[in-house]
Amino acid sequence: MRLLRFILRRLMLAVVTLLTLFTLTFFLMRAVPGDPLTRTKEIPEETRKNLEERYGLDKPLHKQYLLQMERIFIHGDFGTSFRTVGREVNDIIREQFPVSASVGLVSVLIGVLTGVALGIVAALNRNGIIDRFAMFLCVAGISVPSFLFAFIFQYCLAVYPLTVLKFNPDTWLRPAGWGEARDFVMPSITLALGIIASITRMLKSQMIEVGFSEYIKTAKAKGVSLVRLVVLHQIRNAILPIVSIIFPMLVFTMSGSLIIEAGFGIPGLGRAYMTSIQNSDYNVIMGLTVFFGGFLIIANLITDILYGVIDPRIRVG
Amino acid sequence: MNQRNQSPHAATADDVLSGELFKPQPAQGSSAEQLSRPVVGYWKDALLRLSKNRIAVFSLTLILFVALVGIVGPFFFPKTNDDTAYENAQNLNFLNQSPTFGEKLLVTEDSPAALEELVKENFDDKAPLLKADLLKAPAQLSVRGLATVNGVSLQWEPILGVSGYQVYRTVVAGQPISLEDVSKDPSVRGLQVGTVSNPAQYTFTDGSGLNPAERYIYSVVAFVTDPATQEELVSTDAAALEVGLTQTISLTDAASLKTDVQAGDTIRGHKHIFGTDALGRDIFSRMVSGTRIDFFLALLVPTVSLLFGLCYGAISGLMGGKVDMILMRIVEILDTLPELLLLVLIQVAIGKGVSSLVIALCAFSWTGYARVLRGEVLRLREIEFVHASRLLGAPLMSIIFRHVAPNLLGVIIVMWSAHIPRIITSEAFLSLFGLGVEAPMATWGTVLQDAAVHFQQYPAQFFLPAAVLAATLLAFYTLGDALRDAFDPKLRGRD
Repeated sequence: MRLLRFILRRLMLAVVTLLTLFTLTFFLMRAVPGDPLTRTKEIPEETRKNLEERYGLDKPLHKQYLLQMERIFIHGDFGTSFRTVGREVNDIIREQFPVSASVGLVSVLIGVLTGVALGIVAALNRNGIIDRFAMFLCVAGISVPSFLFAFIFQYCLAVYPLTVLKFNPDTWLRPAGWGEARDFVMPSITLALGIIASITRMLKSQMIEVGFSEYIKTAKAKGVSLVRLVVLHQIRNAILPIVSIIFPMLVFTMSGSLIIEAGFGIPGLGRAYMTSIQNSDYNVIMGLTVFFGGFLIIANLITDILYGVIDPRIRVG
Repeated sequence: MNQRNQSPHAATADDVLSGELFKPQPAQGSSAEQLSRPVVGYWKDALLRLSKNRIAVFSLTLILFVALVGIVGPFFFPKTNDDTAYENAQNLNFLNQSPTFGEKLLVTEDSPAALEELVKENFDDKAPLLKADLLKAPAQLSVRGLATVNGVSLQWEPILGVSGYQVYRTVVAGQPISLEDVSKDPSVRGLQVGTVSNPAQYTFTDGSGLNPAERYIYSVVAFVTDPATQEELVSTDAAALEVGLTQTISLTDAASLKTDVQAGDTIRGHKHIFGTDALGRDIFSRMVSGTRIDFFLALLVPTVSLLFGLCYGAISGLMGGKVDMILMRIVEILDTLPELLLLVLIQVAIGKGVSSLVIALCAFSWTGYARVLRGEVLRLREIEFVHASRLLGAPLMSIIFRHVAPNLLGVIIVMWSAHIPRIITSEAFLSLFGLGVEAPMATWGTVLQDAAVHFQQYPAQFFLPAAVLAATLLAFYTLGDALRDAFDPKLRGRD
């Protein structure tokens, strides 16, 4: 019952936040000089009028605002693109979101598995070779921006093998492209690096902290075997905070990375967003902004509920 | 036990504690309260810890070095002929050049115009020579343009009536072969790098597997094809030329470096330690002058955001109640705004450039400071000395600057130093999307943007500046980590 009340309250807050986001974006877009029609080449007055009527740009601003709000929040219809005739924003989201989401999902999967393994090993052999390697990877993964890694991988894994070593372009990785399983490799590794870095770092410090705790000492004193001690007592307790950061990470990665999608030629939502801003394509900007906002809010809500399931101490209330 | 009793004091049987055994200690006054070891305060302790961290000291040195190069470097740029800054000066004779270090270059004859005349005059309706032993070696074999690892362009005077030319290459290293050997003896000419099957063509470019450290002997022989047997009859004599890479320069290219040069002169070539870009601009000088803008942004944006966020957060935290609630709701709403949209808006409103970048980057980042510093202020304002100051009637501003701000300094330094590399990253990221500064201006981001377009053909153009960027960011991050360790004792020992 308390959970239900919590969810209801959060949902109401979500609607308010989305409405604010909608309002701000609406007026911000209108504040940018030049509407979607003036950005293209000169068009006759007649055509212009027809177009304005068709897209509702001839109505006064407050009317446009109310109409658009009604269309989006009551009918769930984001309208059509101003740039590509007849292209529904809902279709853009339906087609391109799964692309971004799948790349994000694969990267988080790779990142979490590698990060957890590396973090545990690094904590267990402190100051060893693996630990040093892992810590270097962490610093590099956090400080070097992912777009540099994108270029490095593109050159070392695709361009160099294909042009200099003459690998078969039909089977080897392509520098850019989308549609086959192999096209997942480079974007996922690039995105996974940052995830590996933060998870390894966090898990290692957690492992060390748990290692000093009283219950580990007690278990040791009772003569629990080393494997059992590490797996059941140390890792299990250290991994808890990691679980709580994975979900927000997943949400963030799934909403599409601009640079990765542009660099590797992936038709995802991040790229669609960038183009829509460059073209001042009102409906697409609005649709994607509200979609991302809603996605983030719902994801945060689920995260908060999940926290309680994982760790009873912070159960929502 | 026994032994202890036999010590000299205990030995005397009638040992009495008499008054003369005791002497009064002279009064020490305030010195008794003095600490025997030097006082190490918060700041001194932090600095001490920082200077003991070798990685941090190295990072700091690297950052200071980069900053110094950025400040001083532009004063040492060569003069340009017109008023353009050296980093923006284009040299169309040297496009997409690999790194060069100002080697001594031999100026060689180049006379493509004369050769073209010759071809026009002599290559119409001329009957082919058929006897190979009548063929002579092509005359005037020379290097055209700059011989670099990317390619060695050869040119020679065409011979009337031949079917084409074969080009050979051999390495000088180790074996003492003279040019004469190569021109007489076909067995030492080495690898055949190509065939030119057009008699009127007098150039050939060899571009594969060249090593900058080697010296090569190129040889060109003419051949005729027997119309009956299709057999290639190769001349015995070859024209041979020894080529050291990036050591020669054609007269035209040399003229663009220095006035009045002649063939046979030795001149010092350009120094492009990072090479040149697609417009023939020196990439290193672009990076150096970009350092100024990047470091300016990286210092200004965090500082402005910090000052604004500090005031905002401090007011919100100290006033509390309704003011706090409203101010924090504003922050939350601003945080939901799409950043790119805001950036485009600002750029359209006041034009692309450093100022719109500063405004946009500040607008995105001050809220973070406001949020964290408000929390700190909330914690600090319940501390006794702030209560006391307030009771004594100190005005709000004086409480902020005398009591709250100094205690926030640790947090502030940690946040501020972590913010710097993020600004440099943002600048590069935005520039890659064409949202950075206006075109001719050089920043690290625009250098990367220019090189990113064709980084598959010229990877060095992208990866050398990228390495500088990555190293600087790495240094800033490790320094930031070290500062956090030094200023925040609670975090000490964690990774």
